[in-house]
Order: sequence, then C-alpha cells, then structure tokens
Amino acid sequence: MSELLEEDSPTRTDDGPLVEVNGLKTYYDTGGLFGSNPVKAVDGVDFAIDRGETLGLVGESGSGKTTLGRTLVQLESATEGEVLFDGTDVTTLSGSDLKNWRREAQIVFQDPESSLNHRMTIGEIIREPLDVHGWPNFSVAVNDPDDRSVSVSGDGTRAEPNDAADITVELAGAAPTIAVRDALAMTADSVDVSVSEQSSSVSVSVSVAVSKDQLRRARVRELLETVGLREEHYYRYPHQFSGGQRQRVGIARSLALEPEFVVLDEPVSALDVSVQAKILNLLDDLQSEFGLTYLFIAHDLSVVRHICDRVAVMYLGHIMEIGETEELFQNPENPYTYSLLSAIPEPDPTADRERVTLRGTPPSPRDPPSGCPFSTRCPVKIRPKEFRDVDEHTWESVETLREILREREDREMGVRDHAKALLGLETGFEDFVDVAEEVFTRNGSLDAKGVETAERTDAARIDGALDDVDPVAREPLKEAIELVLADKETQAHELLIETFESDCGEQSPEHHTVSDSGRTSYCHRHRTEFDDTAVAFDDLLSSAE
Amino acid sequence: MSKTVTQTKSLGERILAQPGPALVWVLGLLLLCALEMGAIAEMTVAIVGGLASSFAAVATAVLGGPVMPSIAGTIAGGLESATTIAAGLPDLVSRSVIPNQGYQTPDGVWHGTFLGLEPKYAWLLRVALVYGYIFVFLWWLWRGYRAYVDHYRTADWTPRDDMVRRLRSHSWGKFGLVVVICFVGMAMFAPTISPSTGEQNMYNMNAYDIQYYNSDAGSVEEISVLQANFQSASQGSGSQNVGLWQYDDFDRFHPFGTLTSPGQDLFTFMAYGARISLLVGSVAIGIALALAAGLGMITAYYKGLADLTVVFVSDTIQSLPSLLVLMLASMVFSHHWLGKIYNGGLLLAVMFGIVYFPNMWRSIRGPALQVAEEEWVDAAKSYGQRSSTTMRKHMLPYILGYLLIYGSMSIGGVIIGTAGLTFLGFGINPPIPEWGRAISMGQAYVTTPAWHISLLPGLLIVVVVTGFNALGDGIRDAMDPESEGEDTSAGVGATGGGA
Ligand code: SF4
Repeated sequence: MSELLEEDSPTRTDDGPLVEVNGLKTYYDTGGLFGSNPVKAVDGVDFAIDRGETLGLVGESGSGKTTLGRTLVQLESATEGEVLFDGTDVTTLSGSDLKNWRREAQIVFQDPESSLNHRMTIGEIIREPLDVHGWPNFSVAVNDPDDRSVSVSGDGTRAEPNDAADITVELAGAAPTIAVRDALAMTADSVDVSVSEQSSSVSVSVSVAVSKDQLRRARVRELLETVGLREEHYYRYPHQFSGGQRQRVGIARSLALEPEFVVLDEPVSALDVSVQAKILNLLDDLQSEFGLTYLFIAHDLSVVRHICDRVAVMYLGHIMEIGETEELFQNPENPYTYSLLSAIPEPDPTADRERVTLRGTPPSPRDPPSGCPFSTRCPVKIRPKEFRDVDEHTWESVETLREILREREDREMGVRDHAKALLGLETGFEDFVDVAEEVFTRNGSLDAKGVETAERTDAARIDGALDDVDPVAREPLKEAIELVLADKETQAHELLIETFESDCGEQSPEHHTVSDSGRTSYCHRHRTEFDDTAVAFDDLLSSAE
Repeated sequence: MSKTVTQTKSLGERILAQPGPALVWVLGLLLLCALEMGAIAEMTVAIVGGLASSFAAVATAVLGGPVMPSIAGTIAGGLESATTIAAGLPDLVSRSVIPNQGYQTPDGVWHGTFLGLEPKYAWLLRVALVYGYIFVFLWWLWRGYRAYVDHYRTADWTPRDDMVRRLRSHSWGKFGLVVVICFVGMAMFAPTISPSTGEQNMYNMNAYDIQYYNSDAGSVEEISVLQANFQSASQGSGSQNVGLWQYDDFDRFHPFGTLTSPGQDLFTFMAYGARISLLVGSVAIGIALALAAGLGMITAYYKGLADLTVVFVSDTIQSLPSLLVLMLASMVFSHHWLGKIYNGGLLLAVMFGIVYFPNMWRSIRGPALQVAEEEWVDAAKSYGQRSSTTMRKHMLPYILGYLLIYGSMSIGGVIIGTAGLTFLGFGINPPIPEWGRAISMGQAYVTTPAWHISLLPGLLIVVVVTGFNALGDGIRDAMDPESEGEDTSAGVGATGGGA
C-alpha cells in the first residue's frame, strides 16, 4: 500500500492543496423560528491544507474550531463560501455524490465514550462504513497496451481514472495477468477474468470467488491490527475497553474507507495524559503509512507544537494567525496568538516572555464586536491618537466600562449582575455609582482616599472616582456616567465608542503576510503606521512594572 | 497485511460444528409444540378469524353491494373449516381430554367427567396442567437462550447480559412478570381453562344442551344452556345465588360463581374477557408506541420544524378531555363499520392509541434527543449512513427500553380505561365479554351474597395492572442501575391511570 501511495504522491502534490477553504461561514440559527441573531460560529475563513500535511487548529472553546472541522467533513452545512476538495466544491454536493465523497474525508471525534455505539461490537462498529459504501466495489483497471475502449461486467465495476483499483488486469502478453490490491484480503487466484477482445474495444468480465462479507471481516481485522488492537477484540463491546483503546477503535473506523483527509477533533483531550502520547504517535505513524492529510483541532497548544506542520489560531470564528508551527510559536505576530502563548508555561527558561492575562471572556458569537473580533479584549488594542499616551489604568477602566455597557446591550440582564461577574465580585453594588467607583479608582474603592462616608453624594463619588483617571479622558467619562444614571445607556455607550474607538473596533483588519514563509496575521498593527505587536507588548509590560 | 482470508463462521456454521445443544433444544421445542397443537391452532384461528371478519366488515362498508355476500361467505366458510381442523388437532391438555362437565347420580357417582372425578377437581387439574405447560414452555425458551449464549454466541459479554442479570435479581419485577404471564396465559388458553366454553356460555347459549340428573323425576334429563343459565343466575338472594367455588343446580362447577341474568359462568366470562382486554391493550399500546417511537426519533434527529409540528399536534390532543373524546367517538362510530370490528374493540384500541401517544412521545423525547446528540450519530452521518438506518441502528436500541417501560406501565391504564368505558356502556358491546361489563352488572349486588360479580373482576384488574407496573419497574431498574432505590418516577414514571 505504501509503495502505491509513494508512486502516486509526486504527481498529486503538483495538483495544489488537497483542501482549500475560501470565505467559509457557518452560522447556526438555534433561536427557533423567529429569525433571531444566528450564532456566527465560523465567520469567514480562508486557508489551504497541502497533501500529507498536518494543520493544527487552535482556539478557546467557543472559537468555532470544532464547527469549522465539522463543516469540512460536511457534518454542518456551510452558510457561505466554498470548501474545495481536490478542486471540487464539496459544499454543493448532495445525494450519491456527497456519499461517495464522504469516503475521502473522515473525522475522529473527541470523546471515545460518545463516538462508539455501546450496543454494537467493535467489529460491527468498524465495519459499518464498509457496509454503507458496499466496500469493496471491485473496481477494475484494465491496462491495455493498445488503448482500446474498455467495458467491465460481472462482479467488477470500472475504476475511476485516479483511484487505486481493487483489481488490475494487464492485457499485454498472451494471457491477461491479474493483480489484487493489498487492502483486499484475497489473492489473484480468487479472481476469474474472461476477456473478449475486438479491434477497437475490450470487454472484461470479472467474477470474484470470495464474498464481500469475508473481505470486510478481514479488512476489519487488519484495521484492528493497524491501530494496535487485537483480532479477538472483534466481538467485544466498547464498555470492555479503556478510553485509549476506544479511541483506537474510533481511528480504525475513520480509516476503514481509506480516506485521504481526516479531521481529528481534539482526539486526545478526553484521554489520560499517559495514553495521549501513544495515540499521538499512532496518528503520526498512520499518517506516514497511508499518506493522510490531517486537520488537528486542539485547545492545547503544547500538543499542537509537536504534531503539526502548520498552525491556525482561531478566535470568534476568524483565523487570527496561520503559519509554520515553529515560527509561529517562536515569534507570534498576532496579539491574540501572543497572549495565548504567553499563558502557557515557557519550556525554555531563558526566554523571558511575560505573562499576559486576558480580561473577561470572549463575547458571544451571536453578536461579535465590529471591526477586529479580538478588539474587546485585546491588551494592545490601538488607541485613538489623543489617548495614545494615557496611562494603563485609565485605558483599562475605559475598556472595562465599555465592556460592561456592551454586555448590558447584548443581554437584557441587570447591569449590576454583569459588572459583578466581570469584576469577579461577590457582593457590592447598590447602583451604577458603585460600579463607576469600582471601575475607576485605582484600588477599587474610595475608602483609601479619605472621602468621608457622609460626604459621599453621587456627584462627589463620581468626581472622586474619576480623580484617578487621566485628565484627557475625564470629561467624556463623566458625561457617559451621567447618561447611564439618567437611564440612557445606549447613548452613553455610543459616546464612549465615538470618543475612544480606533480602527480596531471600526474596521475589519486584513490578513497581512508577516513572514517569508507566508504566515498571515489578522490585525491592524501590521499596517506601517502602527507599532508592531511585540513592541506594543513590551511597552505594555514595562509600563505595568 | 497478510493475504490470508480468516474465515469467520456464521451462526449456521457454528451450530453445525457443535450440533448437540441446538438439536436437543429444537427437539424439545417441537415436542412441546406438538403437545398443544390444537390450542396453538385455535389461538391462530381466533386471531386470524378476528382479522378476517374485520376485513369483511371493512370490505362491506367500503365496497358494499352484491360483492359482499360472496366474500363474507368465503371468509365464514374458511373460518369454519379452519376451526374444525383446529379442533381436530391433538391436545394433551384440553377440555376433551380432561372434561369437567358432567352430572352426579344419587349414588354419588359422577358421569362424563375425567376419570369420574368431581368437576372441580377435573377443572383444577386442567388449569394446573395448562399453567404448568406455559411455564415449562417459557423455561424451555430461556434454556434456548442460555444454550445460544453458552455455545454459539461469539461475544463473551454483551451489555444485554447485565440487564438480564439485573432483571433476574429484581423480585418486584419478577412478580410482575409472573402476573403478566398468568394474565396472558389466561387470555391465550381461555377455551381450555374455562369451566365452560365461550360458545356455550356466551355467544350461542341456545344451541347447546347439557345433561343433568333431575332428582324430582329421578332421571337424567337434557336442558338448553340458556335455560340452565337462567335458573342458575346470581341475583343476590340466598336461593338465587351461585357464589364462589359452588355448583349450580345442574351440577356445573363455577369457580368464580355466576353472573346475573342469564347467569353465565363468571370465570369463563373473565377468561374470554382477558382476551379482549389484552387485545385492546396491546393494540392501543402498539399504536401509541409506534407513533411515539417513530415521531420521537424523527423529531430528535431533525429537530426544528418537525419537532414543532409534533409538539403542536400532541398539545392539541392533550388539551382534549380524553375520556369525553373516547365516549364521543364510541357514540359517533357505533353504527359505522369501524365501530363494529370486535364489537367496538378495534375502535377503542385505535382511540386509546391516539390519546396515549402524546404522553409517551413526550416521555421518549428526552432520551431520544439525548441519543441524537451522541457522537456516534454524527459518525454515522460522516460516513454517509442513511438517516432511517441511523435511527434504527443507532437510536432505537437506546429508546427501546423506555418504550418497554412506558408500554408496560400504560397498558394497565388502557385496561382500566376500557373497563371503565364498558362499565359506562360505551366501550365494547355485548356479547363480547369485557371485565368492565361484569363490574357494572354486579354493581347493584355488592352488598348481597352476589358480591363476587363486581368484586372479582375489579380485583383482577387491580392485580393485572399492578403486575404490568411491576414489570415496568423491573425493566427500568434493569436498564438503568442508578435508578434503583431512588424515586425516578418524575423521569420514568408513567404509571397506569384511567383513560
Ligand atoms: S486589530 Fe487591534 S484589537 Fe485586533 S488584534 Fe490587532 S491590535 Fe488587537
């Protein structure tokens, strides 16, 4: 089998990438009938995966990475855009075309507990795809030196030009020679071929003495061995296996139809750390044995680093950065990638990348921020010119207040609940003045500032709180707080946007190419007029000290 | 990648390789079947006959006109010959082998009964043999399953094994199973275990004569069953009562006493009534379960609009007062052909099925949605499995247990409901015996010596319904060991109630 693929590979690599995704969007409308905001799980992504390559796809939960993987194997239907597989747009396939294509692209699921039907034996589970596709279909390739038109009858069907045929009939020579593909557990002796030759055409009749049932069973046994299980596991049930073994069964099932492309949806995250490495090694071996192309979805960056050729980092339905693994890990260009990487312990103690903690949680994909998706949390968000030099505390407070108002608009819930949640407070606010006090004073309350309790009128408290804020920002903030107190939250929010927004929240960035190897990053900072990400982070971290 | 073809034997080949246990079992089964050939044929004829006459009725209604007499005639003729053939088949345990009807001459000798035994002992012997046969037969089936597991199954363990083991150690469930077996046995073997037969006792009393010893005349005389029944009716007064475990004036033994005028044997009435209860119950539950399972899987698989439609339909049905709807339907259809099949039994079964399905669908919906979320359903989709096959193979096995639980727990409700409607005069019309009618007939006599007429059928209904509920409990605990001991009735507890 491996020789066959090696023969094929060079010609195929020239055909361009195996998978090419253009402008793909997958929205779900889980809100029922009344046209509510759809969840924008995948919101316009472009990338390509080369043959034999492993592309990692990393992101927090809710980033849309699983939806993207599921869309690639057509478990979800794309809302917009195309997925080209070998040049064919598979999002438009249906019926038998779709079913035939499904042989080429398979998925390994995250949770082996849930991905195997416990009422079926391992053998039945691995065999089901074979049954569904009537495997093997005994495709027959006829190599005729005279190049006549060929028709195939009997048990066989004519092989598609590019596919590896199950049975190859060589017409050169006196008697036809027959070869059977290795994946089928039968020898050429079981195949009976009768050839009738005319001057311009050849008709080949094939009869196979071995039943498909036997071939499928043999195939399942062989798959069990391939993934490191034993033949006698055929009649066991999933409950009799450990998590790692079950994941091997899931992998065997996904390989049954000899796919070219496999989506691995967090294949090891549900497993014990001790078996994770074994499964990863198995996946690696299988890739080289069968020439597979992988999309490896993970939330664990360290796993990705070891197994992937390239990595795509996803946030809120967008690919923030995509490029060669090592390069991206060594030198992240996108602020989001930078923040993610700073959160994992650095294996190299000499590298002194500081830890960046991200504020808050990702916004709801139902209502993503305008402009850059990361703009509500980005630590190095570009500021409007007049605020470029305000201190970190002021900027933080402004962002926090905006986030509070934004969330308040998203969900019709009490502003206090959100503020509390955002600030991680247990008890506290009686009203918005408390929120303002909490947000704008440096240590969270006026107590340390000697404002007498008795003197604490609302106006006094607001002034007191804004005392800690850079004077440039004080006026608009005061106005915004007063608008909120007058129950005009929307206007307050608009005022803040108008005053403090930059390109980050107004325009979608472009995918800038940031390295010679073709890495791209989705961020305004790559425009010449702004500081680079690394510089911006250095500034940020030094000012924090 | 070896090129050797590993041969796996099919079940047939595995049996051929080791034929012993299978052979023994099949021989045993054949023997057991041969013993009761006649009864089995009778049951088949009863069921097929019912269907055929329904078909005839439907055909009459739909086609009408002169075609009908010929079709009806053919069916009737066919039935008759089938019944004759069935009657001709040998039975080890049957009324003709162990007769219990006869008369006693003054010298104390019984004539016409089995070995001259007293009718009650002859009858008891027959009942004991029938139930013995039933339990031996079931035990043999169980042995067959064990033989398969021990000798021929390729898997050494399956998830079902655990369920069977848990059900076997569940005494309440086993009690339920025994009650259900007794009830089903009573229905199936009604002609054999009754002291009299349906034909004689209910449908055609005038056509049969019995012999008895007339002490006034001092000779053996004949009397029509109708006459005899009239004279042995239970009317509640001391002289006009044939109670529990008594003989009437014509030396007929009545284990449960007699009914009011025209004094049929209550036990016979109950045994044949079990048939109709079981029939209505199982057809109704079958319809409800089929609807609930089918719609449950479709709504869980496709969600969205499909789900909404079914929610709407089931809400509409549930918002109707079901008892009133059932009564209304019986009234409206009482002269329609649909209301005539099984004297209203089929109509009632269909109506109960429709009324019961929304509740059952709601109960199944949770588990169905849960299993539809499992990744193996996605996996099936990812390699192109057809959605109908996915539902059957990857979803149905997980809701089957719930179907069994709800089915066995609701069948009691249908039995009670049927009896209730018949009690009110809406359900199943005479002469088909229905337990509810016995209760209503005896209602006026509850405080008299003829209390048995109402009380026994009432008691039996309670026992049967409890049995079905107990079986449902057993299945539930067998399926889901976590539910044992704690009260999960909120989740899985459609206990049988009225209609
Ligand atoms: S575009 Fe702005 S907000 Fe988005 S990542 Fe770049 S700097 Fe941050």
